[in-house]
Amino acid sequence: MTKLLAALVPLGIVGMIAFFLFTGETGDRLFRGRSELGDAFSRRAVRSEPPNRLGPGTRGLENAAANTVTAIVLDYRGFDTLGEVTVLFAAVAGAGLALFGRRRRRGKSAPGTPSSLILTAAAPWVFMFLFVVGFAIVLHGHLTPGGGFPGGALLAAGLVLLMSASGHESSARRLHLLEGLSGFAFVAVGVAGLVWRDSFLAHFGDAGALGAFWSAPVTILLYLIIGLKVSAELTNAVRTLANVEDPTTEEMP
Amino acid sequence: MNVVHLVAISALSLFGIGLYGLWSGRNVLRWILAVGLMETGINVFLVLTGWYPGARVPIITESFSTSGPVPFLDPVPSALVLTSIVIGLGTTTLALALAILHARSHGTLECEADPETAEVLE
Repeated sequence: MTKLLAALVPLGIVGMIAFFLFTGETGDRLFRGRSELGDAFSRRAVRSEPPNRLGPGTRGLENAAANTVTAIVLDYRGFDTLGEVTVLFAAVAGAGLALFGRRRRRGKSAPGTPSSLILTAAAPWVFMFLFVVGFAIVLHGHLTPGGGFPGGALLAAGLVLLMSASGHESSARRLHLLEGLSGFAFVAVGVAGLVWRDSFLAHFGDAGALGAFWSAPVTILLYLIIGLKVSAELTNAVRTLANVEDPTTEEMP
Repeated sequence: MNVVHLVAISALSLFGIGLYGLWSGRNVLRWILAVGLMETGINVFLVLTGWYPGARVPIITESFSTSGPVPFLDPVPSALVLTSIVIGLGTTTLALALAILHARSHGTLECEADPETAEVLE
């Protein structure tokens, strides 16, 4: 009976949401599927007038990334992305702080189960594959779906695989260095936009032809930085969570 | 009934399943998974709001006239969802760390109401 009630309450809430969404004006407005802002982004006409026709090979655009979502995330809304990366950093740092406090862990963590032959034999090959695909996705973020976040996750998967196969954990100091450096590089690119153009994170330099690989160089650079930062962040998160001894066997404080 | 309704119903169902998971158990891991499901439902729904029949993926592969209507779906919700996914990952990491802390101090992942507090509440 209680279970039935527990199932009915979410059903009721979802039904109410659905009712308000699909009836009346809200639904029409919500599912119209376009906004003036989105159209301006699609035409690359936020700071300047768009050319008459926009397509592969068009030059002189305010942002030449063929992928409109990338153009928004790294150019029009680049400052938000800086905040997002900072939130990711804060979450991982907070997890480490919550689990280990301020005390420094001495020595190596307790030896876990030794890796199997299959894992140790396959890890370098799979790592190579993940490394190449990860960087390809990162570097093509301005042309194709993907970019620094999924590419960085692939790179992190490769690093974690290598970590679990070799039994060595990658050094925390190096990961922290990579995190710090890439965060600093992001801000440095932003300041460069402030110096050479009018605003923080503005796209400076020649934008190039839309659709070419060497277009929107600042976008490529920022996504590379984000890819490195995300891979360091995720590896660090897995390292933090994997380093905890089984809490149920620990003595209570 | 068209594609919009179908995807919207799937998204709402994911949200509802997550809500049920939050509602019906006292296991911390179950709550984290449930919140993840709810996030996924909301993300699907947000992307859906940018879509209209005949819209194309917002990647410019053919030239179009900028005076006419734009043939792409609204890219703003997609960009927001990209942020939302990454933030969701961060919160999940933090929640897992807190779950480990809870297990460390209570010896279990089940979350029981404190008897004294429960009396006061009742």
